[in-house]
Amino acid sequence: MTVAAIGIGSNQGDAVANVNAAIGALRRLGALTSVSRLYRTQPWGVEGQPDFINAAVLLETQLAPRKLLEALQSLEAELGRRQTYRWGPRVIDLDILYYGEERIEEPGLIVPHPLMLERQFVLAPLADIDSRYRDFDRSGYDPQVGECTPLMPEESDDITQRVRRFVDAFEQTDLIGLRISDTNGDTIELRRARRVAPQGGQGDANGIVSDGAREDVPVDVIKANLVGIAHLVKPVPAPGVQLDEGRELAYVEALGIRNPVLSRRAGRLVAVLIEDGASVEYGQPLFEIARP
Amino acid sequence: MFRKVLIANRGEIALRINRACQELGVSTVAIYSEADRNSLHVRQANEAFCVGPGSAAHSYLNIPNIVSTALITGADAVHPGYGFLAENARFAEICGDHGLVFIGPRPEVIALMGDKANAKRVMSQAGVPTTPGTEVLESSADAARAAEKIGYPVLLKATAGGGGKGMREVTSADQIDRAFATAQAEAEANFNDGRLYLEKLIKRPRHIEVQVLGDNFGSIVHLGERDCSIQKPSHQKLIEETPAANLPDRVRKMLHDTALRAAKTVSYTNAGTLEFLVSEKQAYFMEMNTRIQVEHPVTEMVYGIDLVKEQIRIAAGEALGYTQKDLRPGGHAIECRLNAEDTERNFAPAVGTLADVVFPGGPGIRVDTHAYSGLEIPPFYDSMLAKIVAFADTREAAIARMERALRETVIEGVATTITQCLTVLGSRAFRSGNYGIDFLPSLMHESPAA
Repeated sequence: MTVAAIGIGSNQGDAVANVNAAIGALRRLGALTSVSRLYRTQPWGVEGQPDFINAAVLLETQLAPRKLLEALQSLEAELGRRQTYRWGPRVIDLDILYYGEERIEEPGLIVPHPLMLERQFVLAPLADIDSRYRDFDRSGYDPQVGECTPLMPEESDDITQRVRRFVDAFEQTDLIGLRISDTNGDTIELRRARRVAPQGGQGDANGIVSDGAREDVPVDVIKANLVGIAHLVKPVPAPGVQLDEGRELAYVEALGIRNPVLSRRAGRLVAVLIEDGASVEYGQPLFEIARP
Repeated sequence: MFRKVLIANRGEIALRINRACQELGVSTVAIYSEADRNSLHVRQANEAFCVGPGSAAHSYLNIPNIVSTALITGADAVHPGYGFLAENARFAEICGDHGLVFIGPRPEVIALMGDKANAKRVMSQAGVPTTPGTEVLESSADAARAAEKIGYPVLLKATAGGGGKGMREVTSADQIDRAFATAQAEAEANFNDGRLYLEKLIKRPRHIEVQVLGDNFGSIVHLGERDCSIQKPSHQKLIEETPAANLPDRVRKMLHDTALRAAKTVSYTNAGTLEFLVSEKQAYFMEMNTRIQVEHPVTEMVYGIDLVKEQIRIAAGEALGYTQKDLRPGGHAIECRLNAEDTERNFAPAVGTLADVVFPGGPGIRVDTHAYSGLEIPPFYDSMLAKIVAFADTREAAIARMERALRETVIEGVATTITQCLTVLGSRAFRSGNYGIDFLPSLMHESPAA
């Protein structure tokens, strides 16, 4: 699984609807872990050209970079046809901004996107979903591109707006997790970094292990990469404790073999999400560690 | 009987196995990949465990995670379904090593039948007619010599083959070098085993297979034949029926007897299928599938026997409890496979989200499917969405029933094979029962838009 950032843009037809349709369709290629606000950019110096609407998403995907590119191209074609019923200009543009940490330079596929940092309409939505780009120096922008402003909530409908509103509402509560499904079958699920350990997979409130602090820092979730019985390594570190890189936190016993679960880098333990002796499945979250 | 069975598969066959288990009072454990989180089999089983990411190699073929799941959930048996690990002798053996019953034949029988060239030799020695052919070929020069002796046209095949991959038709000597190279490369890429053999190409044969069941006490019965001649150019089946139409009783009986003799030769246990190529005068053993088949429901309809329950009963050590003469088939059954495929573009798999899904019903119609409105079809797996089965007293009535059912069916969001199936059912050749495995390829050739 790799996290890729995808840039989305449209200036044909109902551009807001096009971008929202693209966000919906991207869910077929993996899990959307973050969605930016929609941004409107007025083209500079050109008369009569419609505004651009841009957004960006983080996609947790299993597709290799080349496959992802092909999938994006077929989505572009599909959404284009659906909107216009004719062969016209592409109504939607989908670009791979980055693909994990990978650097690729092949014909037709350059990752990270070479112009990513030069275009405000790419960088502004990206900053919404990836804090590393929040304080990026914006002085070097292409002057051909006009000012880029986020849309008001009433302008951006559908998924983006719903997610934003839902996040705001969630922030006001003391809930630790919330899931909403609508009639379209779209499901939005939010959880705080401070979290309840699921027991027997049923979300039982027993076994809450957390340092109790609201987390504003990025958190790494260590997941099980195989199926087995998880055993916590004694003494079990208490949440809040500073961990070294490579510390053995637990082992998953599978087919008689102990497979160690290590902290991948140094950081503060935020939560222990499993009970000692629990059965765990592939991909199950085990620990949360705050990055320093 | 078992207490708990792990279902090592996905899609409709995982639902099919779950249904059999539920009716037998056996608890079930589903496995799933991250791409199948919203699948019906995950919801319908008593327990469900994610065993890996979307790609099959890391999930549905992930032997350590699957066996570990069975062990930590306390399952006593594993049903492999079809495809994935169903004919993997090593998997069957590993299950046994961990005290899990593999619901299928013994590992050594799976291994024996899985090597196609070897299987043919064993059957030939037991007096089962096989197509004239060779053992494993060393080189293309070797292939050219053998082809000269047998006579063109010939078929190059991968010993580890299946699904038409690593298979090439060769009509004359000047083509054989190139055909050998491509078939070898394909076999290497698909099965990690580039070994090839060669056999005589039977012109316009029918593909007819015989279902067998054997228990652990030496009883073996057959449950008639299925005609699977309606195949795509890739040899994947599209429509199957039982009994086979226009088949002389003498040939039918010969096929049944040959299948029983073949199954007894390897002391076969559990459900299996012997595939034959049938020409005007002869029937040749092609291969044995050591698992439940996709098209098993047509046999179930005509024989009134639940083959998946029989598999589980046999694996749990129960005796068949009936003999050949107790089996009384009746009526006619046809199955159409609805695949997410673009028939206009040479059956290219289609991916997407199913927008609107309505399946047929009413008298004599059975639908085996995992599809529902809103299901996202992952790009990683087989493209089959549903099997529609029509059962009636006569073949004519079954065809009419199937046509009615397909017209009721709505699947929006992806291209499917519904229209293609209707075209076949409406054709004169299909109605007369006079068709071979060249039927669908030539139909596509004549009317590409059909």
